[in-house]
Amino acid sequence: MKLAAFDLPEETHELSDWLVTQITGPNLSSIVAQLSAVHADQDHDLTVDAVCGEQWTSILQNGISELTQAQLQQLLTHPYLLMELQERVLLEGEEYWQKQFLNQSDDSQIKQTKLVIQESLAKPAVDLEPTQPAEDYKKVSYRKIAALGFISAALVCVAVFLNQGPVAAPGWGWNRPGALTADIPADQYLNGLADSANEWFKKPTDTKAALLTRLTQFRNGCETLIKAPHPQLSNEDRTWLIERCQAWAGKLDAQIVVLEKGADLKTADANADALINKLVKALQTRAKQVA
Amino acid sequence: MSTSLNLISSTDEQLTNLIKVREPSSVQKQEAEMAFNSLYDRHAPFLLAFLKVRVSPHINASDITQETWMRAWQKIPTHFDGTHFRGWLFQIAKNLLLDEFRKKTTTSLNEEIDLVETQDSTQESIHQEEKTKLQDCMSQLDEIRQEIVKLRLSGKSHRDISERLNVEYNTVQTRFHRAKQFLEDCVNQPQKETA
Repeated sequence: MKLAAFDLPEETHELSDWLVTQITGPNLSSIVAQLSAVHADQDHDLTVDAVCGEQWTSILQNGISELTQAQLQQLLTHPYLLMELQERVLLEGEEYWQKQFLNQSDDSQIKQTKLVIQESLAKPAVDLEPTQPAEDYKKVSYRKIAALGFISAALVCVAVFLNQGPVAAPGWGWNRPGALTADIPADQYLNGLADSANEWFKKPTDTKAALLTRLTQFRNGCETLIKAPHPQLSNEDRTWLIERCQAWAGKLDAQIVVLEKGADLKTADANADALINKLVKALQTRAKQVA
Repeated sequence: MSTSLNLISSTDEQLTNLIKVREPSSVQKQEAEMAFNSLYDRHAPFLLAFLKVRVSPHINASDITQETWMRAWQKIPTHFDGTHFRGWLFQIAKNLLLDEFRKKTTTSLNEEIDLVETQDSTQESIHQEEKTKLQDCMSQLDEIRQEIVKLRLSGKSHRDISERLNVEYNTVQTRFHRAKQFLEDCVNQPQKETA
């Protein structure tokens, strides 16, 4: 651990430049932690508005060079303000701040993420936003949900059957018959989903073909999960589950693409295991919350 | 909207409108993806800057960034009201950060916990170990060195501190330098030392 906060300059004009570098850089949270440790006895009542007051417009345009030494000292002794300041200049800051952030941005990471997102968008499964806003669920009775659920489940079953490719072999995980239709309390249902996901580890994935098949099957199960009505869950939990599933689906898609492009088997297998473990844990944690 | 629309000069609202009318396997889908790419190019560096200092060290900021953008793609048609896209994007990211935070503390949390309180806790938890360690090491410094460190890290110069504490300038410099050295050694070692 490097104590970078201890390297602050002595001169006021240099101090404001140093603070701008920290506010726009990737180590701000570490700097804030160090300053918080040193100024642990300070109150948390101060706000950025109270410190910067009428200079706010000027700060958004030109940075903090016009702040007095006393104002800069307030920021340093109340370091949580630096996080607040960072968020506000990220959202409202003008060209000056934009340039500062761009100077320190990680272009390779941004490009890499863009590539993964583009690959995910190319898959039709990402486009799954329901046509009805989530709030509309509240207006539908449980009985209606169950009836709709039954119809949807039937349609899903038909769709899965019709779209079944050579590698898609429903029957395990979330595609196991009865996995999504059991009439049980929400926490048991979520734990059941976690157990179903854990079936991933039951078969070896020691070749690329085996891993690709298994990933595709798991992805199909994910699709089933997204489209299922989950009448066992509350609106909030159902929304949470579907949103998580969509995120997992995106990651599974990305892993499939990477594998198809010739990724190293060992790494791909480890990444897949890590993702499944992560989603199993998320389901189990949610189940605990629900219980 | 026409395909000849200049995406670079389009406003966020115009771009999100293109995304709202997307339909799979159509020209609109292509336009929507191009519009989404433009939004990404415009806002990604700032979202990443926001997330990098808010995720716990053991979480990959790229994962949350990616998930934020995927969720934005899914939610724009139904949940974005057309005003301040970046603010809306950051709110998605914050919700995801809260999810991550809750995953780690969930057994003691319940749904009635105040959102602001949880957000504060999220930020507090980042680098908490670093903070606690440094506090512990600070407590091992003698009072005068603690005072010098506090004054120096509140932006006071060595000369200001010298005048305020009535200690020679060179002494202030030396004591601060040694205190820093001690603290750096202390926080990087698993076992406590004494100043």
